[in-house]
Amino acid sequence: MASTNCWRCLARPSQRLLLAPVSVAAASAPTSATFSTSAQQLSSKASSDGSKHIRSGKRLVLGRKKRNPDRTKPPQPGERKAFRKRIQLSNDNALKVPGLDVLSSEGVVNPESVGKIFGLPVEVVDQLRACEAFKSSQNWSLFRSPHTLVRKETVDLAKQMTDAIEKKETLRLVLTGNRGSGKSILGLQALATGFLNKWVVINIPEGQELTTASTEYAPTPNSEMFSQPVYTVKLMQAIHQTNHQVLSQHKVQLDHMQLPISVTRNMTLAGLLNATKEPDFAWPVFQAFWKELLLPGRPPILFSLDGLAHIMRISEYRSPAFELIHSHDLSLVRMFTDALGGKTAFPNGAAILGVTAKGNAPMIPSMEKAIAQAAAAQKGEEPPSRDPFFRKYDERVFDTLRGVKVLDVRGVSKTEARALMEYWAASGILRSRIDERSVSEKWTMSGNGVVAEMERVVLHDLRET
Amino acid sequence: MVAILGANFHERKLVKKALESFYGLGPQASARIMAKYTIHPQARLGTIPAKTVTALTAELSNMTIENDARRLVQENIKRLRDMGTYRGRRHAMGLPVRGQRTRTQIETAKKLNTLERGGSGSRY
Amino acid sequence: MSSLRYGIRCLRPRPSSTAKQWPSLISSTQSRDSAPRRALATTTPRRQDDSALTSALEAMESSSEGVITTFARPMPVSPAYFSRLPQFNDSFVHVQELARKYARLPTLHPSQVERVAWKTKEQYRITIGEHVKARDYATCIALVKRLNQIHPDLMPEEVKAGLRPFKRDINIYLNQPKPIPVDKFGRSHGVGKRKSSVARAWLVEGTGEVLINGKPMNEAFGRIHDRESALWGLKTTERLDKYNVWALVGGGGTTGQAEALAMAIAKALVVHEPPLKTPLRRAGCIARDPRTVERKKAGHIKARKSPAWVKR
Repeated sequence: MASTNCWRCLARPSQRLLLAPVSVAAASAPTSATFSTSAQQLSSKASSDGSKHIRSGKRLVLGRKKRNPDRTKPPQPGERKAFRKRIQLSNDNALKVPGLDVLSSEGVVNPESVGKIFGLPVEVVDQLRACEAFKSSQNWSLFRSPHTLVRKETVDLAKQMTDAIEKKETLRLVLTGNRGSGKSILGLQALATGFLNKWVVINIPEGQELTTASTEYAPTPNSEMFSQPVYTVKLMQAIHQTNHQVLSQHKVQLDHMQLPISVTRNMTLAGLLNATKEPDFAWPVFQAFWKELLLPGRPPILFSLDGLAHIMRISEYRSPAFELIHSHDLSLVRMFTDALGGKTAFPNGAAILGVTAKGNAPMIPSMEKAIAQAAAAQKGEEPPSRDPFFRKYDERVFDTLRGVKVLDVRGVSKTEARALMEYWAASGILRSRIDERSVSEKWTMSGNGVVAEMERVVLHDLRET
Repeated sequence: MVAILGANFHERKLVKKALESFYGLGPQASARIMAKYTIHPQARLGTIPAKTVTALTAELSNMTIENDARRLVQENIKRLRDMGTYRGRRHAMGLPVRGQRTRTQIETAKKLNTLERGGSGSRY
Repeated sequence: MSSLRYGIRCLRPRPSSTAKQWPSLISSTQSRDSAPRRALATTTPRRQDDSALTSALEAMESSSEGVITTFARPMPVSPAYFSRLPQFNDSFVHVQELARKYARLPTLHPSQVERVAWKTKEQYRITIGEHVKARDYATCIALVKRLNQIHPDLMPEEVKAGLRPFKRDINIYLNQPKPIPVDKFGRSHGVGKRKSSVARAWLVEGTGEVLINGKPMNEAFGRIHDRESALWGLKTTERLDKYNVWALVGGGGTTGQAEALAMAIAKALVVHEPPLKTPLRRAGCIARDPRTVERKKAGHIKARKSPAWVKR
């Protein structure tokens, strides 16, 4: 590595220009009379010429170790977290890529759009941002505006969703795949599809926010369940913000006598969501909203959750009896698992999407086995049997994942990889030539086209050249 | 400011830390109390409802904490001392009680092992 | 005097054995003319100790002319017997004679001569047990090589026998590398090693998919540098998208595994395309890197690090 850097210094004129020009003559002594200049020359030599050795031995310094205190202001409460979670979706330094289509509800199911880069419409970007579909680990900030690659899986997933919803059926699907293969991005594309098709989109961006005991919880009266009021309020706000257009066209049809707030018939569903910001009332109102959504004649639902493994284990919450609460006893999680497990009937059609995560995800043997069984059933193979010596299988997990469809996300194909690299090059990230060979090389290096690895490989090359 | 059992805490203080600042109330007890009132471990005092704060105060007032706990400990030590046991003597001398070595590493014992264990009795 | 003579006769070995080992005795017993002895002396005129010996013998003979018919001691078969390097001197002289004798035989061009593995100086020293000087051996082996250039059809048996002591027992130039076949599925197999890692790679013509221990490249090697070095052979020869690799790697760490894999892949690639061997060798994928961890020694903290010096 070191040698390449050195060669680079020698080879690239632009870098040499960056260096300050070293002028030898400028450092010499000021011009003076020809006589008696020896002292001056000597002194100038001593000062300018660094070659003369000045003895700098170790001296005993006492009391010099005073650390000057940090004068900068400490960040405000929450500032660090905000910085950590900041999502930057545009970068003025990146080049604008002309000639790219904008994603549409027809384009995303069209098999011809496989291997093309599409821009996300502005309103969809706002909606996606509101439901926290963008993640800070995804490099959106490298580009002028958010674009996505439509890959084979995208079209496949979008087609499955739209087909199921047209037939008023429920698609229950789990996205799995290796680390960095683009599961979350695929989830984002599914959400975008939902927004484009005017479905009601409910997204839980991080499963772990619900189960790592970092948000308020409260026992629900007359049940074993626990609601999470503050998170529910946040979720309701997000749903209201993202699905305002759709929800404001539908009015409340049921009588909600038991609700702590007054609900009238001429209230829209959006109004119902926005009716309260009081955490104490949040869960009953959200339940009422859910009931309303499940009535016939309502818009179809897309319910998605990222980080499936986190909600398939025992949570870190404790019940008043000081026992750990199973995640499925948290009512919001239960709502999702019931939907995913097929216990909830959706008369208007729905797509329930569980996205597994590989980074910072616990190992859940039950979930892995259940997904493997579901995948085998989908292919029509013999489902793998459980390990007879493992005691800690969780029946509730198996119940939830029974009969789901599994979409295994793998690396992109070479044509898709080429499209991606061309987009990167057009945005100014990638400065090498893109031909069959370089695409193929990057594709191989990234473990047969794992997207995140491709990005790493390309940026690694960028560092070198 | 939130007051629990007569002590004032900042609103951004973790409930767990606030509870554990009482003498005789450690991690186990605080975790149990918080589970009882369904407060999550990362909750801060400002976020829990006033109802729960009063309930916490009521809960703590029934517990043997603070001066009660101190007195209990001091009585136990005093009993040992009055009986003239070795342990009582060691407490009085400020030395390790349970047969540890005394050649080195007895700073904690020197600091803690007194007849008046648990400080003067006031939190502030 | 007669008793002495009798004693010497008793000492004298039988003619059959003398013919082998002490032929000079035969010369003194059978024909007492000094011609062969003188010839003997002329063959090695430069040997001082030899000449001293001969002169002593002559003096003895002249003193006891007609009285003693044999030597007092058995004579060595070679006049070089009393030199420090008798065997080498003998064969050197023999080679010199052969070279002189057959100097006019037609020779082949050195490039056309079949390659022979000659003994190196050290190997020769070990086989004959004499400390041959480097310069002498060099001149000798130069003569030997000259003799070896004689046209094989005209090569006298004498020369062949004379060159034999300088040849190695096994001619390494006759070794043929075992051909690695491409099996019926079109796979070629290569093995590579580096540090303590061993890699086996199977190459099939394909589209550039790589599986290492059943895992894709990104899981097998976390560092991109390692991935690059593992596929270096394919990359430099621009064959990355023409072959599929299926490999098993074990032992050592990531660097060792990656570079072992590079070697394995290069060897398997050579099976498919033999002309690539030279470029691959230039890329550094064919040669086994012999460097390994140096063993720890007693009295040292590591291989070479000594304990800190302590006064007393």
